[in-house]
Amino acid sequence: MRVPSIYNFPPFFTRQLNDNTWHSQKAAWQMWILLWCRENRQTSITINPELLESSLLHNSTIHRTLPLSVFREIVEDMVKQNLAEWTEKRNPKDVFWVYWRSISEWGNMILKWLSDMGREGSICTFYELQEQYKEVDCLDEVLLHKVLELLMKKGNIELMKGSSGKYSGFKVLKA
Amino acid sequence: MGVNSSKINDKDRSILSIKEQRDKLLRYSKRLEKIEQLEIDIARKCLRDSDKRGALRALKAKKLYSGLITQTYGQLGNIEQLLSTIEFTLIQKDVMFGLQEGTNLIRQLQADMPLERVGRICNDRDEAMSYVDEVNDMLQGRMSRDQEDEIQEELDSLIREQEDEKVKDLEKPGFTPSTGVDVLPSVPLKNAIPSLDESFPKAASVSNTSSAVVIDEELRKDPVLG
Repeated sequence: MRVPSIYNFPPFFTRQLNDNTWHSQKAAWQMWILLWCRENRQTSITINPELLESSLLHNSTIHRTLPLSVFREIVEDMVKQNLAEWTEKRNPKDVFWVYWRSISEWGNMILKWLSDMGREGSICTFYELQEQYKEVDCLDEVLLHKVLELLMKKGNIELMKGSSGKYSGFKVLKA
Repeated sequence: MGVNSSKINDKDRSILSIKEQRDKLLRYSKRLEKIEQLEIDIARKCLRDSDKRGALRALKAKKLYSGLITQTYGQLGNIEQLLSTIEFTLIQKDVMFGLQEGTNLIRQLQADMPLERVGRICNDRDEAMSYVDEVNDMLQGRMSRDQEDEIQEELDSLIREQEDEKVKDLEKPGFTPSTGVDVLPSVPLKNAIPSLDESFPKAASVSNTSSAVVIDEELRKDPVLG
């Protein structure tokens, strides 16, 4: 896995007091978080003590760990910049989606795949989509639903409820 | 968000249901395969630990799961075939619709081409062709007559030219009697004289002296004619 050089710089794991420096540090951390999630194909993160042991916050080479409180500050800033989104609307907020690809980008990828596979006018289940198109199998159920809902608003698909009463597939509408 | 009836119909919902069943079978077969692999691993571990009985138990379980997997794949095959048949039938329906549209279009086009109209057009064309033929015939006749007249005039003109040339030759000066006297004994000249006289009948009425002059003139002409 690629690691930016700043990852081996001890002060990177300590919240800087100078505003300008802190601003730069936040930006660097946000890039690192996006990169780490992309490399690990992780679309959501739960803020809990276990995270302190992952390579995201812990660099065993230089024996440094970023405190969870500082990490949360960085995430709040990502949310403001639409690089992340809390999965819950109310406190406690512990789980967030990481948009190393935006909802719109995911949607375009799915559209392209559906077109390449000649699926115009056909029915497709969520399971089928993620089984056959591995690029998007990292999306969890809720995130996938958000992506498909965007496509429905754009008039590309129509979501369908299955026998269990909840959405389980969609029809690809012809352009 | 409610389902838009103009986009989703009962057939679509049925297809989704079938696909959901297929997905369930796929998930189930994956689970069985994982368990099967687990039993194989257990069997290997038991053998390493010299536990034959444990290994046998694990292998029996593996065989059970293999059977289940085979059944599951059989059912999956049936469902996949059903889905393929449905999909192909939908395509067939589209093809039939297309053919129907094509047929309707042909009928509309035919309605714009009634037989009486076609017949009338053909008759008009035939009449036009006949007219053209008549015009051609008339023009050919006229041209032919004109050409004949021209040819006749040309012939008359040539004849006139020849006569004029002969008259001019007779009027030409430059003959000497001495030259004529030298050639007189020749036999071919004697033969030639009558034909020349025929072409000039008036010359016979001239006196003897004049006849000598005539002979000289004729001799003068021979080289020119030759």
